[in-house]
Amino acid sequence: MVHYDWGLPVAIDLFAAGMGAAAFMVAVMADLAGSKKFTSIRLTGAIIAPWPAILGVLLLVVDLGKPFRFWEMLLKRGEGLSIAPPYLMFNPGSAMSWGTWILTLFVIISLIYLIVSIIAIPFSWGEIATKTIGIIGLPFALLVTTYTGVLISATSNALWSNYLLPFVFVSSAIVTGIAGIICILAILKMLKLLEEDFIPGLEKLNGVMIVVLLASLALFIIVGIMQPQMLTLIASAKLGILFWLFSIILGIIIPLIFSFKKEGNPAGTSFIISLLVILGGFFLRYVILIAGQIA
Amino acid sequence: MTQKAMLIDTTKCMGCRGCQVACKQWNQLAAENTRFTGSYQNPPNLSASTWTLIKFIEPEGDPIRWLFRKEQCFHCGDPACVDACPTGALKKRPDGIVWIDQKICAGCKYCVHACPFQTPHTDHDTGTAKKCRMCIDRVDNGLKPACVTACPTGAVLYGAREDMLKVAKKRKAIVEKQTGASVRIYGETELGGLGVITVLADKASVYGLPEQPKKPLLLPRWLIGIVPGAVILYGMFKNFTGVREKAEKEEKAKEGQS
Repeated sequence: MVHYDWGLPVAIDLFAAGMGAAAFMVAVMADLAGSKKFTSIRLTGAIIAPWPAILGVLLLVVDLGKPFRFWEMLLKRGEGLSIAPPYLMFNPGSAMSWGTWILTLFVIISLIYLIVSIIAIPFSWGEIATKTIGIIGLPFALLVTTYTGVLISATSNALWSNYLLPFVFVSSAIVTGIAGIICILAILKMLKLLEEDFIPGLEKLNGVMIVVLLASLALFIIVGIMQPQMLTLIASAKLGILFWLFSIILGIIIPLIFSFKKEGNPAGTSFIISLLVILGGFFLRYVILIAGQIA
Repeated sequence: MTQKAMLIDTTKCMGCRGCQVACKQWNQLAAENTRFTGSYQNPPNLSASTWTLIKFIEPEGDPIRWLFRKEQCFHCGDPACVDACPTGALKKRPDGIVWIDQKICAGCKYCVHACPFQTPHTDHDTGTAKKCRMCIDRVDNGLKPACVTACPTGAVLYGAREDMLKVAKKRKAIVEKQTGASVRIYGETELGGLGVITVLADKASVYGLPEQPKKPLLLPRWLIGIVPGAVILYGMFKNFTGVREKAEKEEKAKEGQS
């Protein structure tokens, strides 16, 4: 079996962290634009946000060659076992060092956001508190989605070093983040627990985001078309099928067709389509990660 | 501290692989179970237990040309691996040596992907990344790196970087005069001036090296993610505002009717 230095755990992290951060961004944007009107969207986003990022961080730690040394990324080593000033480890030239801190801070902020979102509902200060924490977390969420792309793009890997990769991953993260919220809302709708139906609106919004994703992917492929690894990605038997079938057809084209239906979709359809979008987002990370490591 | 450097003169190398063996011996690196790949080059690539090896190159269309190049870490002046390392395990010393502190490396494999020459490799037994460390323990005790000591033709030298460059330039003049080939001194300025300078008797690509090695840039990649991301967020805000305003209008209209 071929060994990949970065395999499934890293692919899951790139996908999950991006999706969680994007769900957070949607929640905050809905909150800022519509306040109480979009409470169900805000709460759903807040509930989703921290967990994929936490899963991603845990997988990254497990994937280390020395998992118990994960703290070396947080604390600065001095001589021997001592911790040297400035005590915290940060290497500004390393996308991974940035990612370590961005992810850590995002997980903390999104957890606070979730707690405040829930406990503050009955109080008069609740609205301003959630908005404030949301605004503080917004740049971190945007940085998390970008970091997933920058991490593998700022390398000497022929396929990954494509300058458009961060754009692709950011747009894919947002598409999966919105799909995550639709997925939960669709379940609630099927259980008849929702008063207002925001799903058709969110699906139209995601339709536009999917078009942005398609555009970013097209640019990514055009820029990298001279790389042999790009051909592995788009034209090889195994990865090519995963890429076209799961990422493009099931994850992008079919959801796009269902996005702009005037009368909206039944809750069950919305649920399945949103799952397809999420699955497509995961396979996109996975095939790009693996294709880059096939010589 | 003066900058030190290694000089690899491919025009003097005869492919004996004494350096390869000396490296294994001094650094106590395990042998590899390899297969015949149609070339004397063995093992086929650098790995966590092979820190240097002789590349045997047979340029296409020339049946009698057989080129040798000693491959190893270049100890870049501006190393991508040190930039990439999130733990500070990868360090560059004032004398130019780039080494991985095995006590600190957490095995994230980011240096493996960052290096423009694919030099560091993961050791699956220890979980850490490994590569040539210019025999740091020998150099600090006044000895030359093991491969330099082993080389029988003087193709591998170690000393002050300035001196090594002088030797390289002298050698370039001699070889160009004798053979008419155009000689390239690889590493004089590349990536902030490499700590391993290689005298090549042909283009770098013939020897399997990037003509212009580059360090991956961070800032433009952040911007290419953040800027469209911010625009998308603004669009999302506009969308939600529009939905709310539309709903409010409808409510007002309803109130007006009733």
